[in-house]
Amino acid sequence: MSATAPREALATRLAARGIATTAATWSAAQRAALRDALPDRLATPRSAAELRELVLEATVAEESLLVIGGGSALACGAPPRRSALAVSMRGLDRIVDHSVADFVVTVEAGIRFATLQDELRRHRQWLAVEPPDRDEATLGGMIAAQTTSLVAAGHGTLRHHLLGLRVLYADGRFGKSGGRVVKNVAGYDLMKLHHGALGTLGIVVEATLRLRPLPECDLVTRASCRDPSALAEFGDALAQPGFAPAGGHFVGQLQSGALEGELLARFQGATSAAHAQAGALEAALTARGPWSRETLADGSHAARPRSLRDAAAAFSSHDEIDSALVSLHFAPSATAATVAALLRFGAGRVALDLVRGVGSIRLATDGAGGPLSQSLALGIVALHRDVAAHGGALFVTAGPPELRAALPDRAETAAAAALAVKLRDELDPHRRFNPDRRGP
Amino acid sequence: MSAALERIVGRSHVLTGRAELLTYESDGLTHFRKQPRAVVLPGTTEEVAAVVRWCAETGTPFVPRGAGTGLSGGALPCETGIVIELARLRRILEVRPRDRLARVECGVINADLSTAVRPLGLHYAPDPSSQSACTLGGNVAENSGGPHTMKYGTTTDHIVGLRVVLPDGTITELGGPQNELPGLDLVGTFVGSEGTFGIATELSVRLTPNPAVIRTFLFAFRDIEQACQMVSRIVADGILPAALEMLDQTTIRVVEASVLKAGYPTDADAVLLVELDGIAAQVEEDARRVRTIATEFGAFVSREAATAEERLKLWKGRKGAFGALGRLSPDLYVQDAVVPRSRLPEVLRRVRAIATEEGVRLSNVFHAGDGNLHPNISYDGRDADEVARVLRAGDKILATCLEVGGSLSGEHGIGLEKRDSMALMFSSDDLDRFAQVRRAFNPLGLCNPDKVLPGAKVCVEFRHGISIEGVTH
Repeated sequence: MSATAPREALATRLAARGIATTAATWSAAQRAALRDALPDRLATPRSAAELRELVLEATVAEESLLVIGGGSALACGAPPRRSALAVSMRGLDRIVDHSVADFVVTVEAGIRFATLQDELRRHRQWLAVEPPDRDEATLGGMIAAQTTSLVAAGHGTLRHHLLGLRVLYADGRFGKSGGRVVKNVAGYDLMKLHHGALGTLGIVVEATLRLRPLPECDLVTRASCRDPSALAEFGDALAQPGFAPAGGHFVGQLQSGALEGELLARFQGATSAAHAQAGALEAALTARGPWSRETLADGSHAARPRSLRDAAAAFSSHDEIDSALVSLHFAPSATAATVAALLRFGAGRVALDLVRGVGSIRLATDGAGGPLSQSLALGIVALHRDVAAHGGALFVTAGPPELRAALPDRAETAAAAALAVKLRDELDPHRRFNPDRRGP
Repeated sequence: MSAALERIVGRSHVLTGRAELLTYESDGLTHFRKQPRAVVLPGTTEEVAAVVRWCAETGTPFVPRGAGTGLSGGALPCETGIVIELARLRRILEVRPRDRLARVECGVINADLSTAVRPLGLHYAPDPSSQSACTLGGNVAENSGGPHTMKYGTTTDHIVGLRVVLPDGTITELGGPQNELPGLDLVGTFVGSEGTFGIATELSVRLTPNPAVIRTFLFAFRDIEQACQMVSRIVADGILPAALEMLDQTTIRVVEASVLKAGYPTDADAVLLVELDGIAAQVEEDARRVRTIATEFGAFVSREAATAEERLKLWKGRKGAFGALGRLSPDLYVQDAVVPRSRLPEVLRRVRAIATEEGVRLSNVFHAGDGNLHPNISYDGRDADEVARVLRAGDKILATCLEVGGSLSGEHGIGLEKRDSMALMFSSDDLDRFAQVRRAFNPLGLCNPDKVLPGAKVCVEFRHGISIEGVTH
């Protein structure tokens, strides 16, 4: 049987049921990330019922689906197998329910994060995360891709705010887990299972989230940094009693054994408390100054200081096509050793969460998603070894095959990987959704 | 059977005598009692794995057990199987203060970890009322909470890695000490699985810095609904207290008549304990606003613990309330359900009406900030008619909580107690999905069978001889 015949059959079957598909258009970055795996056709269901019909038709046609949200995290995970059809969740973008008094909201998965935050801000509330791709990311995509948050030091990641999920599984049935209350242990925690699964176990249709009141003050204090020893000192200072930072980052450039960038500390809460902490940090690290303080208005990235936008861009998985992205995970106590390893490695744009020990390294490729230079490929292997020697780990988020060959894309022992396969065998035995993105 | 198990763990660590097994015939939910064929006490992960492998090879069901303080029957033995008691795995293996991490064995007592790391300026945040007895492994199984979960979250927010023995005897690591590792979140999935996915023998836990400032307030109200409204206002005003705990009049009076006497005003309809912690400037600002809100909502007593001893006293009264309620009757039925915070006044009214309707003696002590209710019913288990009324009242309370969008359990778990009530909250499709996930971890179904999900009928003996087949209470 030819490869295209069943795909046409699926589009035809969907058309017969009144579900339109269109020619899929992909950005250069998406083409660079997924190459041959991108389908030619795209469907954008407008309701959960329509999505279900689509999935059932895909089952009959024995075809798989590439499910996408805002498209900002398509590069994450292992390269998927080619699917017959892309399914955009952007048609399911409603706020289903917002219980203002209970600080709980239920949304459809295709809603953009920025749209949701704008709506919540009208009620002086927010979902206490700040994804790198604030203006593009959808909630469903953020759940699937376990998107990091620039305020994770203070509020955790989206994982900590997920109260419930409604998921469409490959057998065409919906499943609910969790609920609409802020504390709940009834039933297994499938919210965690889907968080980071890259949509390989089911399609998240709705999410219920815990909200927080908007902080009275959102303050950043920052200083230029060229001295590698300042990074550990900065992280250590923020770990002292008297500080409760929302974030503490270094953002900058590595080049030829040197680094150059900015240290940023973020404090949220009562105005007096935020300024008291910023003042105390500046005093403790006077020699690392001069420091400049700025109060942030909630809103799009465009309104942010350059260095915060740089931090977001450094963690983002899709903003450029001529680079590859590596995630770095290290113990805060090993910050100095990790920075030394980075200096030995020597090239790329880095963003490091120095409170939590999470970072990203963006490496230059030869353009259009092409190969890494051989020296970079060898360097990344050495960096991986150096970081691991201090208890850290490196994973590839996006990049060309030679980078993927050098680094794993997920953290799993053999037994845990086998368990992951069993979970997929149970929930999506025919690998209908995003096949291979989290392994076979 | 015992010879094979003795070869693995040694003769002195296998219990088979009827008297020895008595201790293990129930957990904290004493309604249900069963004796296992044996209790095995392994001392290492490898011994746990060997015992579990033996179970898999011989088709023997097994029930993992920590301290047995659970309140939903999750550690109730299976008569055809064994109990794997994990108390011997009680070492704190590693503490990394700068990384705020500890690696511990599953049998470490919750409070002991906080005691051990206190000199380092750290503590382990989840603090269930049973923290002086319950084990961290048990906390992982139940995703335990406590009064301070409002700010600090439940167990799942504090576990970063697990060493687990899967139900086929395989030992594996899930997660790890680093943040945001890419891949399926098997740690998050395992936590709260109530011992049905395997046995976590080692835990990497997140430690929390001791707050620079702690301030604890007592507010007393003539009307519990005003107290509930104050709770909603505190949250709406952007204040995130470490704890917001409520005691009703019955509980207040019982505590005040006991050795736990905490100075709660006995003429109050409700006492609200508010604890603020964190950096000084933030706590100062929040305290000012909380006092203003209390005045606005008519608190007739507004008091701050002036010393650490006074604070401890206020908390001893709260944490010991369940024990103090033992003064009222021989038996206590502790309910655990959650409702949206804004529905607390209405639900409390309805719960009181249910108690009146069924003629049962009700008290309330609960985590108001989370909407996590603990309606307690004091009764005499020797009175069959009263038992029936207690069970009916419990069912009605649960139904009321679910009707307003709540949950069957906030922290005690489903276990056996609420297993058959799961269908009230979840559809059969939802339950099938849970069963699929359990099958992936536990394909033979030998690991803590008959818990959490309805399905197989069980025959259990009620404490005072009432046989209840296939029902939850």
